[in-house]
Amino acid sequence: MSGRLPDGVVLTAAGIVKSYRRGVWPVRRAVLVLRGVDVELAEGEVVGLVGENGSGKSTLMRILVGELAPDAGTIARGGRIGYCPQDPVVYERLTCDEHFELFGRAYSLPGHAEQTTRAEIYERLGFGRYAATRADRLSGGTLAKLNLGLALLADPEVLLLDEPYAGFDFDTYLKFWDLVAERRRAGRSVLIVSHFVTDAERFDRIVHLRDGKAVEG
Amino acid sequence: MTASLLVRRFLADAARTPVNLLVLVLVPIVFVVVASRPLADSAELMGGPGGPAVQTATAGWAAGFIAAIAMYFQLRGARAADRRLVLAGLAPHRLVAARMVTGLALGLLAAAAALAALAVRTGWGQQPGRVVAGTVMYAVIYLGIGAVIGALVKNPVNGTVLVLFVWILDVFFGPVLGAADRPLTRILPTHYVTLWMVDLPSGHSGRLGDLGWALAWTAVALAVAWTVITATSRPRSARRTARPGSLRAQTSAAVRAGLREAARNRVLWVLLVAVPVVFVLLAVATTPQEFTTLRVPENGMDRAVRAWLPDIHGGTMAPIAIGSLAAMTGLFTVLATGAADRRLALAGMRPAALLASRLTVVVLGALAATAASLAVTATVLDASNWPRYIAASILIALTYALIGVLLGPLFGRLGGILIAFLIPFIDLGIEQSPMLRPTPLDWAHALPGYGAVRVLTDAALTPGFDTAAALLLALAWLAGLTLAAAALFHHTGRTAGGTP
Repeated sequence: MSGRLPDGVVLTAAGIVKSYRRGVWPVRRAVLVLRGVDVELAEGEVVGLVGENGSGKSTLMRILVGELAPDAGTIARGGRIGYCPQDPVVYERLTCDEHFELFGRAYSLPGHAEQTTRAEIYERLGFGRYAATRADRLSGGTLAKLNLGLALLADPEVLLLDEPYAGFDFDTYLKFWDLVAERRRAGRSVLIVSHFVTDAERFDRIVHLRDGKAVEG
Repeated sequence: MTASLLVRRFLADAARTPVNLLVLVLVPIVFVVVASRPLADSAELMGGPGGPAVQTATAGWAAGFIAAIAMYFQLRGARAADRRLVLAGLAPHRLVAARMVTGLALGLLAAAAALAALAVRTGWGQQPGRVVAGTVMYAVIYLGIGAVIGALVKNPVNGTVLVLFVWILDVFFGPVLGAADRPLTRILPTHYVTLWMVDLPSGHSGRLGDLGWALAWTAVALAVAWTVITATSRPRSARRTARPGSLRAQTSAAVRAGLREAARNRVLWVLLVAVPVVFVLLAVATTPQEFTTLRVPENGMDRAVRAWLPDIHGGTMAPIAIGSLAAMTGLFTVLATGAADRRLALAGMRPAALLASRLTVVVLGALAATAASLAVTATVLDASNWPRYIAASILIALTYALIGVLLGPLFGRLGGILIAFLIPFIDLGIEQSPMLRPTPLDWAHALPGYGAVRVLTDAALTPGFDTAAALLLALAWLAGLTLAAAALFHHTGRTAGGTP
């Protein structure tokens, strides 16, 4: 399942196949979603992964992250991965601060490093005033910021973002792209999943997912 | 040497506050002199023995209350200064010993005042030794209570009210103001002290005897006070932090977060307590008022036991309430946190830390449901052996909580809820019920509740322990389910463990 990475590459997925089983026996059938996807992400690269609804973008993302096992294919990852799922996946009754504290422990960050980065994330995404607010009491936009912030916390080499700016207002959307640009300059890589791309110039490359395969351009 | 100096200084500190001395001496005297007669009269109305027994106990009540208040204020007032002393190099055990001796001295002063007032008011009766020793034990037990409240409650108004609340519960539901044979009130801190002090044998103290239980409570109170004072006088800066990324750091963070999240789900806690209460009381209220015969093993023989049906029905409903609620707690804890747990595992959280966090929440929920059920059950059923009845109930709670943990990922929300209700109902409510058939059918031996319910029924009806095999079976179920839950969390971590 895992393979070696060429120089300058931080993530590769080769020949990824994934199908879902639908229905119950004896009318169970397999729905093939990914039919041999090849994706590569280089250092300092910002890549967009686009496709229609149901094209398998989120499935591919979950496989790249390691949350889902592919039926076939190999994946190789270099460095730490930060993952921002499409729907905010958080603990409803924990506050923003408590989420950062908990994920900081999961990432094995020293306490002071976690607190410094947490403060920077609050500052950059502009939701510090909700630090002590429970996740189930946040607005959709602020919850999306928390969702993204948890992926950014460990300053990962590879950032995999699934529809990250869906709930952002325009100001936050611009802040988000400033952050992505900064990460690119620092040699970090970002893969962004979206069902459509409005600012193509912000990406180094765009990969389309069509008929279960990845197509460049 | 240092300790005696500290005691002298601490006592001087207390004595230089004139109000303290006044309270320590005057309150017990006034209480004993003024309140003993009216309390004795009201005790007779409430079904207690009344008369001299109540008047004697007032000395203990006064000494206890004042000892708790004195200890509370001693701890709250000197906490920061005590920490400074330890920081300056004083050995913590010396400081703790000095605080304990000071507290004891203040408690004894209050006890002496109360005893003096009692001597003037009614005399110490036929057994003055018991009266004196009992009053001192009261003071020591309440010293522990005052220390615990002092460690937990900052605000002096809240602290004093809490001391008063505990004291009122203890006194007004105790054995001389109320009836001495209510199972629920046996857990009150001075239940046995009072009975021994007024020479009213409880009849339910077992081999230890009333004096043994009273001394045990006193010793536990001393140990608790020692532990609490040690903990509160420890300098905060000495706290060790775990290495980032270590199993200990991750486990403590995960458990803390899990408890925080669960504690904020107030509706769940209210339901965990309220549902069993209603469940058991309704069962009792709707059961025909008649006797029934149950068969239980005793000394290797199958014995028929005649029992009052409403009581037994209440006793058999408790495990169903406990099992269902525990299964629900397990189910919803896992379902509500499953997706976020997987994300946390992706970020690097170890499966063992996640397992510890979720199991802590599930076990606490199961224990809350058990405590509420048993508190109500105790009002209708007098089990022959309470410790084993409680242990069997906890066994049922833990078993079904783990079943709930496993049902969630297997059947999802809706299917999980239905099955989590169905299994305990069929297992505990029908197949294992001693009311429906004397012994469970052969196939029902394979159900998870079989062993624990046999132990529970045995404990409810007979004093002896005749269900060792059933207990082993119940423990085997618990071990197996724990392993399965561990495997489930390991699987969560593994499927999410793609990151290097």
